[in-house]
Amino acid sequence: MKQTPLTSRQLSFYNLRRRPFRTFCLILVVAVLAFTLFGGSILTISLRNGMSSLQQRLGADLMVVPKGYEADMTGVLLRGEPSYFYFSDAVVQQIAEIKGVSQVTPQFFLTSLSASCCSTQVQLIGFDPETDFVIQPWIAKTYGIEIQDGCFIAGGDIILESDQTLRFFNQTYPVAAQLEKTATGLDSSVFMSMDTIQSLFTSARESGMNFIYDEEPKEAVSSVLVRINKDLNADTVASNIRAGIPNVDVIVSKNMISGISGNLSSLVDYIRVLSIVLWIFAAVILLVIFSATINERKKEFAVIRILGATRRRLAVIVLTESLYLSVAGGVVGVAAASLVVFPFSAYIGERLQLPYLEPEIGAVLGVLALSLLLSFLVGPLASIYSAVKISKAETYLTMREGE
Amino acid sequence: MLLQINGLTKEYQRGGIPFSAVNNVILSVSPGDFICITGRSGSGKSTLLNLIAGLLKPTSGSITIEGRDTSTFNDEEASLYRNSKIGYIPQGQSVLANLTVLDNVRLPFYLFRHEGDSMAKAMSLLEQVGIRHLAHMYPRQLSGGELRRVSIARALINDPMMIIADEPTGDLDEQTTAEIMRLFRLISHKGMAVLLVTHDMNAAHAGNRFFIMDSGVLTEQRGRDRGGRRAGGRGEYT
Repeated sequence: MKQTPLTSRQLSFYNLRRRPFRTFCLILVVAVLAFTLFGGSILTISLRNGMSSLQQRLGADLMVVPKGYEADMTGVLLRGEPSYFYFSDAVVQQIAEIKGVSQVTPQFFLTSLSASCCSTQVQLIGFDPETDFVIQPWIAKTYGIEIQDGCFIAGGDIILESDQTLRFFNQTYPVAAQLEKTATGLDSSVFMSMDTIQSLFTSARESGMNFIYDEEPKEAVSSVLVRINKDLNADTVASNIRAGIPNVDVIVSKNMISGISGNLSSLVDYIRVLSIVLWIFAAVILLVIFSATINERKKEFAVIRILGATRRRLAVIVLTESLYLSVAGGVVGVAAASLVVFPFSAYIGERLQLPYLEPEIGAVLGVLALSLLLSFLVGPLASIYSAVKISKAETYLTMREGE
Repeated sequence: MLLQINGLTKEYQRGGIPFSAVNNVILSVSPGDFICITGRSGSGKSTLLNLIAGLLKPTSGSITIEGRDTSTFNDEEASLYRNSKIGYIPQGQSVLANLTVLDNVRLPFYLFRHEGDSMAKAMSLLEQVGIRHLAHMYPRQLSGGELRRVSIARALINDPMMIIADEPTGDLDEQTTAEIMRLFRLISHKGMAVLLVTHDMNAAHAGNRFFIMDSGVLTEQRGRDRGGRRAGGRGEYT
């Protein structure tokens, strides 16, 4: 016959096992707490990462697009909603001459019809390697290479062919590099030089797909990215552009980011407050339940004491029970949160309409450890009062109460 | 001599006036003694047992076991004393509902370090008290008499020098009471001291030493003084 030693741990386990409903409810309380702590923290960090990534990737102070296409541009940048729109490339020179503008670079947009890499349309972005100050520094910093004509740079969400190529409008080009995820619309974009995208444009036109009717493609651009002099205000320069050039919209990057940041800050504050409130709520619930339960169980503990348990031993039994509940609840809560935040990260980002970039494994493990620690602590902390109370109870009086 | 009690007094305040729940008790306990103490409710019987068990500190006097005064024990020593030297059977139902019968009996074995096979020992004790077949059941499945047998087996698991039982037959019928008292007699015949408090005069006369406690004063009844037994009836102290 198997002989299980009746240690404090074993006694605590038996006590919990024989009260399944109470045990289930207490585990559920801690699980909700752990779910919120872990899920909320991952959500918060992912949103902050997304925000930070967006700030880094925009790289321009202003973005000038044809009148009426501001929403399309933000859709391309933030949500990866493919679009194309054009105005004359003469605007590039006009913008460069506006007071306060220090650098300008044009971009040219196409959208794929369908591609083997993707279940949806892909945003194709051509840039001018000679003037670009956004894409190339990013590529150079990450890969230490310069983009050549006749090759692509793929966004983080693009799935490559097995031979590391991509095919659009019957043209196949090698992919020189794939960018790390940014949680922006740029993840579902493919970048190339102006010459390459003009080649694709021609191929598309030959296939009967015409993106431009009233401009020559070589004389059209989709957007102009602008850097301003450091001592000037972006809103002032934007006003100058609007005043000096007709039929354009100017997007001020910091305003776009601060608008998103405002939403993000509110959400992060909400999650933080919710986590704190839930932690306190869980601690109070556990405190009350432990206290009430200990009152019910005074005679049980008095009997154990009569049999020879020290005061310390009684306290250890109570604390071990609460630790078991906390560990079970913590693990269940974190596991449940993991099943929500990781598989559905894309959906969450889409629903929140905010850039969402999951933290790296090291940060996830750090959050995991902290969430588990806080969950594991809540039970023992909440039961300290009960443990002290039961260990100080006068056994003689307790037994008399039960008579 | 197993246990020596000298001038043991426990005072309480009631309405600001001190009174002695236990008053200058002197008692010597030797191996094999089967001591029965009876007395009215509130006469101090349970207080005396709790003092002997180290659950209460005396106001004055001493309880000496193996040359040491138990009032000087710290919590660890007092707990070890309760666990190893005495087997305490509390009043009423005292079997833990969360543990099986077998684990209830084994529990004191694990509260301090003891050598041996707790499982074999517990099964043997359950055999001796006649409930081996109930070893894996839970307390709620047992009758009052069976629960009392579990308490007795549990009190014996660490081979104590003395069994202390507080009203062990209080809620049992006559037949079950007789069976329980037979068990205590067997225990004392094996050389263990038994100290039993009861209201039941029939049960009280099962021992080889008989005491009456009145207003905290313990008096031994010898020979013909051991009157008060009523044929077939429960005792006068109720």
